[in-house]
Amino acid sequence: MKFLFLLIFSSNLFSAEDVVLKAMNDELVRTVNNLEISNFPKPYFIAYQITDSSVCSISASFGDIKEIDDRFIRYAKVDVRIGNNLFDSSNFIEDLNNRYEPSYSNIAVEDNYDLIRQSLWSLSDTAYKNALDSYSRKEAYRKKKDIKENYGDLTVEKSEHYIMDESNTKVNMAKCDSYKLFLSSASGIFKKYPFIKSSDIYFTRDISTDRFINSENTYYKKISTLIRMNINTVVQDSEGYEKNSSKNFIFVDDREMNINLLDSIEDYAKELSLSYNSKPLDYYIGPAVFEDDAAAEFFNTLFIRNISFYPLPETENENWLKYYYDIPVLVDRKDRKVAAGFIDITDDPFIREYNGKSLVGGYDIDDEGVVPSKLVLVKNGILNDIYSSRRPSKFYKNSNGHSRGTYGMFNNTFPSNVFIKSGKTLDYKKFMKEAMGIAKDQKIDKILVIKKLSSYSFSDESLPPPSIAYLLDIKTGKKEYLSPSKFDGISLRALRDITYTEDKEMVYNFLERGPFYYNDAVPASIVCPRSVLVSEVELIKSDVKPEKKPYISRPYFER
Amino acid sequence: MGVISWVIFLFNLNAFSSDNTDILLRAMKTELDVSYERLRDAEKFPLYFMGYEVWDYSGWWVDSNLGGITSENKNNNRVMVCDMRIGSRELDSTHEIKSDSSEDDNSKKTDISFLALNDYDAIRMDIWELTDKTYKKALNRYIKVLTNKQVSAENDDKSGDFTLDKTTDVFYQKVTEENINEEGIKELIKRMSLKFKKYDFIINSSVNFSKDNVTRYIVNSDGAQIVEGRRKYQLSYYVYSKNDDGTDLSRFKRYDFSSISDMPAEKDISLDIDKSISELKELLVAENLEPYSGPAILENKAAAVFWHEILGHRLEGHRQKSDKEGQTFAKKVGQKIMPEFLTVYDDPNLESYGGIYLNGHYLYDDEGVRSRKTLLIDNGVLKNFLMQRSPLLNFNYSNAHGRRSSGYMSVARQGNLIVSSSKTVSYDDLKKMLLDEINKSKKPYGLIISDIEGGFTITRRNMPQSYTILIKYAKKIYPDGREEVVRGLNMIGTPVETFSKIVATGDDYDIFNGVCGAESGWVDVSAVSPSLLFSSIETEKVNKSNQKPPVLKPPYIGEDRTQDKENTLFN
Repeated sequence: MKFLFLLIFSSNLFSAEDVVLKAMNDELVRTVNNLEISNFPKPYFIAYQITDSSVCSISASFGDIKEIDDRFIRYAKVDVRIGNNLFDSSNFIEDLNNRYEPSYSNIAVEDNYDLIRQSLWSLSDTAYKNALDSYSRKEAYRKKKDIKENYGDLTVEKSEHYIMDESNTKVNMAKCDSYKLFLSSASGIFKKYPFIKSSDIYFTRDISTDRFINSENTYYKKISTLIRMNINTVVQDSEGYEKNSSKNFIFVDDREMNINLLDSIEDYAKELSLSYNSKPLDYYIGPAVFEDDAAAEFFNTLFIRNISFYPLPETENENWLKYYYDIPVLVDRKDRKVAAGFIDITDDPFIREYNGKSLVGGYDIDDEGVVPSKLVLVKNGILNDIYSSRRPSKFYKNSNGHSRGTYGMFNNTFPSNVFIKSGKTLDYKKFMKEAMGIAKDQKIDKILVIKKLSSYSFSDESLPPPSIAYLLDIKTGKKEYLSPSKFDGISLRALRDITYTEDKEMVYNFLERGPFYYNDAVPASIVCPRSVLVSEVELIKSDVKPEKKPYISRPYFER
Repeated sequence: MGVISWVIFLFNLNAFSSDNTDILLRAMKTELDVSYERLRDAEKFPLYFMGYEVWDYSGWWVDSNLGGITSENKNNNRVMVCDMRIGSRELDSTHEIKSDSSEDDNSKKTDISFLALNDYDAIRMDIWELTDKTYKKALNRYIKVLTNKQVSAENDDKSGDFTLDKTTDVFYQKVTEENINEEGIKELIKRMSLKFKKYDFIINSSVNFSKDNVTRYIVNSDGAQIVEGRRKYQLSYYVYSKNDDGTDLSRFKRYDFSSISDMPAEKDISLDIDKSISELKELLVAENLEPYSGPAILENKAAAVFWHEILGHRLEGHRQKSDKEGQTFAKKVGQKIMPEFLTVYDDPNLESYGGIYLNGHYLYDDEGVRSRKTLLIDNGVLKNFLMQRSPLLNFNYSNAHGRRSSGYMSVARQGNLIVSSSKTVSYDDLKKMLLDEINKSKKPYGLIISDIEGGFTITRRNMPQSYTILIKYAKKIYPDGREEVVRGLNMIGTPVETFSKIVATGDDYDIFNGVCGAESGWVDVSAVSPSLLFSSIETEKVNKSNQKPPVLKPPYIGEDRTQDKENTLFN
């Protein structure tokens, strides 16, 4: 077998700077040279990724701290492949009863050369044996199915060397305890809102260092910070329905934990509190305004997720994939209209900030060691491009640098920073006037305003149900919040039914979960209009039943 | 099915007196009073009992391998569960629901709440939320119980659901945190973990240290107010290898203590590690034993686990009641079930045995009942069961064995299970007796089982009601006294038959401290036993993996690190 490796690895390369990288390099060299079971092929491609996470987690509720967990974790992920670029042991699911996951493990936290190598040695050995098994099964499957279409398993890319300059990296290593006061204050805001039945804040600050090396002489080291405040609330509305909401505030610099953030949390609490007085909905058909978080969630669910996670892995039982995998349905509509003609969408991993707000989806090199490209995804409503990784597809022979993953999941195509631009914008007042005009044309006196969608979940509907929504009376301006409801028959057509957008933009930082229900998530950002008007949606009553009210009133508010 | 695995924990209480400023206790009492008063008659089915239990936990653990730290974590939290009983003592919402698909209905899992750490109002809000949720679930379950009762066959045992005794003790005993030299401990375990590095057959190893402080808070509508703390440390090591046929082999040891001053000396740990490495090496070349039937000695610590599994779980009160359970001993009270030279009792009140602390010690069980000695087997005759506050026919009171971990309802569990013998000989004489048994049975060899990992026992009727003891280190002994290490065997059998095969015991009592997992979660336990001589036992082959040992040797073995050139891909 001829190796494709072109360069010589020098074990001196990382020695002084980084013990972990040196250990990765040295064990990679040993594995490439020596890992072989007689009468079986040697690996043709090996990659190691080690992720360090310094995680401060704090939970808080009602003005007090519940739990603090401050820890350093290190994970190693190993990819060992048998075969060649055109056909190898990867991208094949043998059994969907078991999780489809790479070889990974948590490993020693100390920068100890031997410890790191020991972990990689052990993982490589397991991955090699698994790859031999997968290769034979995949080969048998392809023969059995008589599959002639073959785009290959690994693109050929030039090697990259990227070491992030740590001295220029803003990493705030403030002590975990130092966030307690802010989180007590933030969670204490809910003391003013008796209609919010429960509220819990889960805070994490994760400072990550990712190191990667592969047998094609690509390596990188990159550092990132992600701060997340996840607020979970339950409002049992006046009709007895329990409405669970989850809101994330995600940023990269803890200086954003300031009075403005507290104000945003207060605004959120007010909105939730207002939604206490709700009415069940029988049926609604008419225009809908997707506003604030709901606007970004609308674009993410209907558009972004439908051009990500492609191509799908192969499996013995293809029917199962649809139950386990969030299948992207827009990829086959390249050069076709997918959104209103005045919508342009781009993805740019290089931008770090927009109008003074941090974007969390950016990176200089993707998780497979490919330098990303800025992508024009949609131009004048026409689908122009999709994400690609080192897994070739009928659309791509090369990666465009949008492969991302976490230690527990295979890399896949993901968004980074998505910019949704509209050529048909109005200020909010005029925008709402347009919405009311559509309502009048349809002879209805209320318009639907959706402020937030439920957390993403697998369902038959293209959009998850609204978690905060109201009907706005176009004559009186009165808001009538809705008890749980769900979309009926909404489809990708909604993207083409966008009529107007607000001229004000918003930044929505979020965590994009992978295609399998058990997958982790990667940080991403959407910059989009703050409000989006869709000419027609249908909303029906949810199957959820009301709960009995609490037997005893809440102790704090009883006084 | 009760499944146990063992860790050794010891603890010691440094008590101080009650503190009226304990915010958590005050919040629990206030919410209990308010809730019980308002909920007891809130619906047509009365709430006749309620209680809260909180585990206030703080801990630190650190692991090392090959001279480096592999992980470290500090954590503190408070977890609460709420107990509610709706109906009456004769029939309440906890009653077993009988159907072929009622496993979920009869699960002992409960909702939990993480409580705020400092603020009285925030704590009360958390308690309130859990109380409301638990009450609604209890009501719902009681309605199911009433319906199910109408359509199901009755149990033989009609003793009701809750004992008449009341728990009214007021007790306050926390433990103090010890200042420990964390850096010193890290250095110690790093030094110890380096000892494994020079052996190329060792695939993985670790040395671990943990410190836990747990205070349990119990309040209930009977009037109990109990605060009981414990502190425990654990140092352990693990070393693992794999045979060419895929059998996983390991050695493991743990040391448990309640005060840092009782931590074993470094030289003793070091000697133990050397011994374990040597045993692992022996196991790698040991014979894979074919299924065996014949005489054997179960050495003291291994025997302690045997008693816990084979006898202890089958004497747990709730297993005598449900007709899904095997009820091995339910109708055998007053009958001889094992040789008359054996007496067995459980005494959680005991802090130590022979100077060694017992992990199964507690002053109050999780239902607030004061612990006491319970005689289970008297000279071979069954006298009693391990009882919680769920009565049995002729056993109407708890003997303080209602236990659980957070997130579960209490069921009857063991504490310190102690086996004593009136027919003891020295270990050497026991070995001679084993040789006699081998000759008598005309077997080519006998077995000496020295170390077991744990085991499991199946007590339910829908499966074979047998036990399995997972053997980690055993030897063949031939009639001429020669001994050979063997591997790949589990001890199996059924209890009634196995007890009848015990022919003598040693005088070498020893203790196994550990944790036991069953329906009500993980609880700390101990067992004490002398070595046991069996006229016959049975073994089976162990399940093994199909994967061979690693292709390459560990990276730190035999590599010349002065020559960077050798570490390059291509020359």
